[in-house]
Amino acid sequence: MGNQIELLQGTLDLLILKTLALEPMHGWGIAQRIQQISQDVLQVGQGSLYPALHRLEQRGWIGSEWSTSDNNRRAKFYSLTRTGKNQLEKELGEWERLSAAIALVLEQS
Amino acid sequence: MIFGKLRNLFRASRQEHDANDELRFHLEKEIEKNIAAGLSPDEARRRALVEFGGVQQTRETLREVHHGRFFESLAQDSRYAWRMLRKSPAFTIIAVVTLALGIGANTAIFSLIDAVIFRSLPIADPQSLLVFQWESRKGPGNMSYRNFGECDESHDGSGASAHGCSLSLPFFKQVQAQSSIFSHVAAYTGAGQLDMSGNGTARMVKGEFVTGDYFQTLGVRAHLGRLINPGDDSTSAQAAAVLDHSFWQTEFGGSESAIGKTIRLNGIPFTIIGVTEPRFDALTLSNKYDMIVPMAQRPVVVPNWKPRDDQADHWWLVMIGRLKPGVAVNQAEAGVSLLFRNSVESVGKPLFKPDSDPKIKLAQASQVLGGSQKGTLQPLYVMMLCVGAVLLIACANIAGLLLARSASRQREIAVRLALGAKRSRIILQVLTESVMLAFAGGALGILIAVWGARALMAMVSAGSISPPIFTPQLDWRVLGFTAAISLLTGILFGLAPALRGSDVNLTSSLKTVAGSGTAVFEGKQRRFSAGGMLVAVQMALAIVVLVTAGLLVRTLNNLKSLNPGFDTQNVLLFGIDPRLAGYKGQQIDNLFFELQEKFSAIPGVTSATYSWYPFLSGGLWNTGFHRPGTAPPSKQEMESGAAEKNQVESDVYPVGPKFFSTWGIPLQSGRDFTPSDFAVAASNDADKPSSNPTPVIVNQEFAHKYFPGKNPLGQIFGEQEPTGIGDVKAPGYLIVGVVANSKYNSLRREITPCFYQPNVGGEAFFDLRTGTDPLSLVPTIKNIVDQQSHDLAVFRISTETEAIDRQVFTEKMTARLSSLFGLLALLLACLGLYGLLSYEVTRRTREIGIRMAVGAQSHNVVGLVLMKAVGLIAAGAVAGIAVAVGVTRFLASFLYGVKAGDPVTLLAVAALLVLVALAACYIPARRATKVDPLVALRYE
Repeated sequence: MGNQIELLQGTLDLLILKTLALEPMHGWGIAQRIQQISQDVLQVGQGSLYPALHRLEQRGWIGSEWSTSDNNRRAKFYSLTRTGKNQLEKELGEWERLSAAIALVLEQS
Repeated sequence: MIFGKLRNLFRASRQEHDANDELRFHLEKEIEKNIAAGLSPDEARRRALVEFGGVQQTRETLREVHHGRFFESLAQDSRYAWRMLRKSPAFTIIAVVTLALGIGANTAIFSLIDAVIFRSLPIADPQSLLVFQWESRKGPGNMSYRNFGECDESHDGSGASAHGCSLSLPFFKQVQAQSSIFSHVAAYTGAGQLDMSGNGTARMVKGEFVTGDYFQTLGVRAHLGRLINPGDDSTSAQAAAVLDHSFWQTEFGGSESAIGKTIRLNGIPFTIIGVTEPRFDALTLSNKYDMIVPMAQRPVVVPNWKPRDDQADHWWLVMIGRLKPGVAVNQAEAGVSLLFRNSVESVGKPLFKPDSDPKIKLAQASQVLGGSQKGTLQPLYVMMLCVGAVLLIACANIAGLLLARSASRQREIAVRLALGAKRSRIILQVLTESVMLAFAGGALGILIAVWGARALMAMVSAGSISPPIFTPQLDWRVLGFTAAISLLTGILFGLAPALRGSDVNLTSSLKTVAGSGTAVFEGKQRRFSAGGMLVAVQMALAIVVLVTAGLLVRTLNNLKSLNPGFDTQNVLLFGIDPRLAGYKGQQIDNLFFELQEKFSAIPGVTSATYSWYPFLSGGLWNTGFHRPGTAPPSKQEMESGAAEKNQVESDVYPVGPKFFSTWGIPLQSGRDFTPSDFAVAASNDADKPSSNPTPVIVNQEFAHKYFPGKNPLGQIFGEQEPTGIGDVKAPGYLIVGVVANSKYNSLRREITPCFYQPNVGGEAFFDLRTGTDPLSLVPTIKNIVDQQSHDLAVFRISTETEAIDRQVFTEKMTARLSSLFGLLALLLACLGLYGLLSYEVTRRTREIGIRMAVGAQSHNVVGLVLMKAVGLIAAGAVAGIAVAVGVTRFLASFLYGVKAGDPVTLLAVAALLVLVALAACYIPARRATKVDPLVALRYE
């Protein structure tokens, strides 16, 4: 299993939003994509994924639709809404500021 | 977001379904991935499940995301509470029924109050209809004033100012001519009882005169035919009549053939032109008119109408109107007040004292046209107080029961607390249970309320001549009240047990007394336990209700046992109005004399007489004149108002021959009336009075007040008063006799100066004193009257005892109801005390056993049990008396002959409470003495 890095909820939200900015996906697809792009470092289990997806949906940042998947099974597809897009921009900006600040502090030693 | 969560509650099952699907899909994809990576199907599945982790946990989290924690726990609490209540059905049923009675009674009274206060006028746009009210510092005098109970009147200017709604016909015509202020203005007045014939047997109907614009002003539509319009309101128009809808249903069978039919009112033919719409019943609660006719017909229909009735010093009509758009109310008031003052001054004699500043106020009809609203509301408020107290007692009672129950659940709660449950969650859970109980009680209570309100209205209608016509309804206000009171009740009685139950000393509760099976609650010992305080509160409240009941009962007794100054037993009353059958002038008086002699001759009749109004039926007539011994006012004095300082008043009561002997009122000096007295009175009643003073008999109060120290016989008063007919002066009155005081229009009113004059020329009520049951003579009476003339009708038949009963009807109702509630309150409070003591004895069985084993006697044990009880009873009694004194002060206007803080009543009630409470202690005390020390100690 390797070392599982604990993801803060807010960070997970950011990753989900970014993933959905490309194209609509179902929950499993989102988890796979994050895993692949992060080169297996970030593995999101269903226990954190689905609560995060449902919370984001309640806030109106993503929308959902039941549809058939590639192998003709019923799945719930999520997509980014317009407010979600704005939120993504905002959070990306904050993330960059945050990580820059942390990097500055860590360089000092 | 809250609404989203609320919405989600309803979609719960579908969402659960969807969430499961989503998770299942994820799992299947994982398995696929594992198979694609080369694992066997079984291995793939196993690996996937391991990675998947706790699905249940995820489901829970998802649920929380959707519903939020609050509703989740609320649902859980409700299910738990439901299970707990089902476990102890006896308690649940008792509690629900008690609550249903308490909440139901409160809701019933509230729905009645709501119906009275919030009754909106059954017309179009009720908010903008205005009523003309005259207002002045002191009330008007020197004129004829009649009102039909349409609005509250105050004539003596006590308090803020004098006001009333009756105005004169000339004033109305002036306002009507003014077209710049009002878009519509109309007037109406009661016509009294009209004799209607032409539709089956002749009967009396309640009539109303209205001006042409009446229905348009109100915005009332016709159900059938058409309604009165300005064209009908003239003497040259055909006489038209409009029927009230429910009257049309009962009298004319709701048939369309009623339109166009000709009927006779007091002998005058009228054509029925229409029926009002069903929802229009009446403007004022107590004045529902059957037949509506144009004002112009008044001189023709009203018997004995004289031209001077339509002058500016005869006030008898009510004016209503709507303002033109853009006209402000105070503008209109200023304009109309000016017209009013002109009208008042045009009379030629002063109607108002100087400095009265008379003006017109335009008030909202919906607020003013209440008639006797105050009279209807006050007893309801008293009932509300009693019923509210009973509900509080019920709450305290159930709280006590819950407390006892929570004591037995201590162990379970202690365990939950030890496992980390928050105290607030436990409190919430107990409150959920109590609120569920309360709502169940509330739901049942609504049924009780509906039945109760109807029963109450039936009782009220049975005892009243003109019963109020409001119908209590289950509108949103009433239901809202029920829900709110259920919630409050639930929280109220649940709070104490919830706080107490969760305030647990963990270690002491978890210790069990070996062998006893249940934990003995050894929590903090307080001097005044919560249960004890609850019982004391119940006792105090019971005292408040009982004191209220006691005061009302004493008021009723005082009124009923009042000596009105005459003999009230076995007197038959009935009315005859010969004018309706076409008699005029002297014919009427002759008829009355003849009838009086014929009635006196009937075997079984001791004595017969008649009077203008029956005793104790509320009728009143008074008049003013210059004080005897002072000079009659000159014209200048009248106009400048200087005559006011000598003006005095007296009640006037027209009576027939043998009046005083029939009623048993002793004649103290002088003589009774003779036929020649009646002749003089008749000559003074004509348009132009003669110069002989009318012979009158005065009561003692009159003699005492206006002729102190002198012999009043032979004195003349009220002479040379202006009559308003040119320069003709009144001949005055000559005193020929003095009688003892008596009450004649209402029991409560104090004895005032009154003079009796011979009854001439109008309707009369006959008073027959009989030897046996008065009502048995009715057929004979009717026979005699019919023989005299077939057109004569007899109405308002009753006995004097019934009339008095009707006077005290409200007092009787409130006394009965409050006594009922008082006894209920006492019963509940004592049940609470009994329950508490029983529980105490059970709880301390071991202790009692030990005491007895070491030598305590029975009386010591009883003392142990009673000590607490006596303390509670004493505390409750003292608190109750204190609160009762404060609260009953609001009853003061209702009472008669007894003051609000009456010590006798207070002491009697306290004594009653103590006695019954001590009786309630008897059984637990006996049980305590029966404790067998050996058995008790074995439980160690």
